[in-house]
Amino acid sequence: MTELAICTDSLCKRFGSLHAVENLSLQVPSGIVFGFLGPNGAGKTTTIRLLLDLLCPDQGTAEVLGFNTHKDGQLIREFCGVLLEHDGLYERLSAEDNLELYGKIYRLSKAERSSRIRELLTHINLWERRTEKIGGWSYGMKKKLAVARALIHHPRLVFLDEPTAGLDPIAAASLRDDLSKLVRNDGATVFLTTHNLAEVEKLCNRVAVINEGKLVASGTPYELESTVNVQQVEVMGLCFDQTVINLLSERPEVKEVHLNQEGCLQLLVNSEVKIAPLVRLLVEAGAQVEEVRKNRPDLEQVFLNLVSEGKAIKKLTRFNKL
Amino acid sequence: MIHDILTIFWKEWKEIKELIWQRGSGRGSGLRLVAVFGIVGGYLPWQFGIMWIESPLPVIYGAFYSIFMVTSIIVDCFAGERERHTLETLLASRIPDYAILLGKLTATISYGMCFVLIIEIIGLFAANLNVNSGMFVNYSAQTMLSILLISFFGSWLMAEIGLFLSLRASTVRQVTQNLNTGIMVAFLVANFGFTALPKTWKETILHVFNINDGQAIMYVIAIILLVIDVIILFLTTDTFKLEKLAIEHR
Repeated sequence: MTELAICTDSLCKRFGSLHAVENLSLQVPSGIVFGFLGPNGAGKTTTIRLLLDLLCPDQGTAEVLGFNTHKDGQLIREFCGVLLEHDGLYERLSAEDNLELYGKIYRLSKAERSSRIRELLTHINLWERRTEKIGGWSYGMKKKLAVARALIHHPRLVFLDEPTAGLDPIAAASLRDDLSKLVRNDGATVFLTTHNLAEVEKLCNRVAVINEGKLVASGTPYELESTVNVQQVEVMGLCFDQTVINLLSERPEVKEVHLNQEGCLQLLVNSEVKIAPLVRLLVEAGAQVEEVRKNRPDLEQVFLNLVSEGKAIKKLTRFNKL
Repeated sequence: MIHDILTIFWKEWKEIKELIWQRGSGRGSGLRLVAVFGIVGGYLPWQFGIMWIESPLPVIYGAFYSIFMVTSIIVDCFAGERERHTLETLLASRIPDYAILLGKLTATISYGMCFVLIIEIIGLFAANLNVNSGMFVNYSAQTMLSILLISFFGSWLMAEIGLFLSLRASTVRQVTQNLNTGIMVAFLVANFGFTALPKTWKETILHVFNINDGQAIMYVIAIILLVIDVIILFLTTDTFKLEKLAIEHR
């Protein structure tokens, strides 16, 4: 059986009438990069706070690294590295002092601290600027330093809230690479919240989507993508006039059809639909088909689908109440 | 436990040092410090001469300076960290909450005490310059003990009040306003309260101060301060809850 880094059971947290987290049951296996997705205000940060015992749940239980959040909060925080919504760096202090502080907090010996600080700062190309006060640094540089701080004590579990936001593409790619290595070489678990869905597809082994405090989906990115029962088909060619578009629109298996600016015909059809009969229909109508491309729905589509479904259900509930 | 308190103590002192240096720049900061120590520590005692050394003046001034210096730093402790979004990351680390509280408290008190000790030493030399008797006149043992006790318990009290307010405020400005209002109200109440007392009461109080040994009164004040300090420490510790701080940080 896979060891779990995080396991929550019906976790609830309310702030007055706001249900920040509602019946959240989540299982995160050890040694993976776990993507935690959701729109702004979905409850991602509150969930991290609950898992770190910075907040007490109103209901439900949570275990992090085998420790109960309610009883062993300090032990959990001992083994976790954290980059929250804000970088949490002391701007009056130098980069070296910022890392020194957290090295001391996590009880690294003096020799360990100095070698680890050198290793991390060299890795993020900030060693030469270690004595500078970070107040004047760019957002991206601070973000890199904050990630380094989260990793200073070789944590078993790392919570990273939007770690690549504000980083240049090279730095973002380098960080993704580092996180993969952290999981592969050290066996650490990474709990990542991000809005960058391409990043999630590249990096995460498993994903959960939360919306309005509720878990709406979880699984591997592939599993999530399979839950969307549509496929996008792109047809390239000539003579795609209004008659052709009308002909396709009338077909029951075609959900959506439109011609884009490049003259490419885009169809949205159910995933089980065979494309060949539709192509034949196009040819019979006088269109010249040069290329047909079937695209699997990406995570962005899945995400939008899940979030909009939630909103639609909520609207319907409100309507029914009226 | 001690390691964790010392870690926060180290961080606070680093920040205090940077704060002092940041207010001026390079040589400007140095000159400003020399001016402060020169006027407050040197010029005033020099004017008083032997009276500075033999009266309770260094104790009263010491208490005032310690309170003043502590107040200027303590407002930044929690409200400042909350404002700069560093508090939540600190709370999310393994460091226990009491270590954060005590580390900040000890760093602030030590800052106030350091200032007082430097001022008192400079003051002693400046007063001796005025006396010019050919012999170096020192503070009496009782005066030295009073300086230490009153300054220590006074700065402890102010640090705790500042922490208590800082825990509840969302901005540094709010704490500063609350603290300044509090000090002003306390001063006015004491001043007008004494003036409003019946004449016989006032005479009795002044008589007690005159006939009794001044040092004994200092010790009584120190003990009263200690009791108040301990009570407020328990109240502050009780207030310092991780959850409250995290929610307020939202």
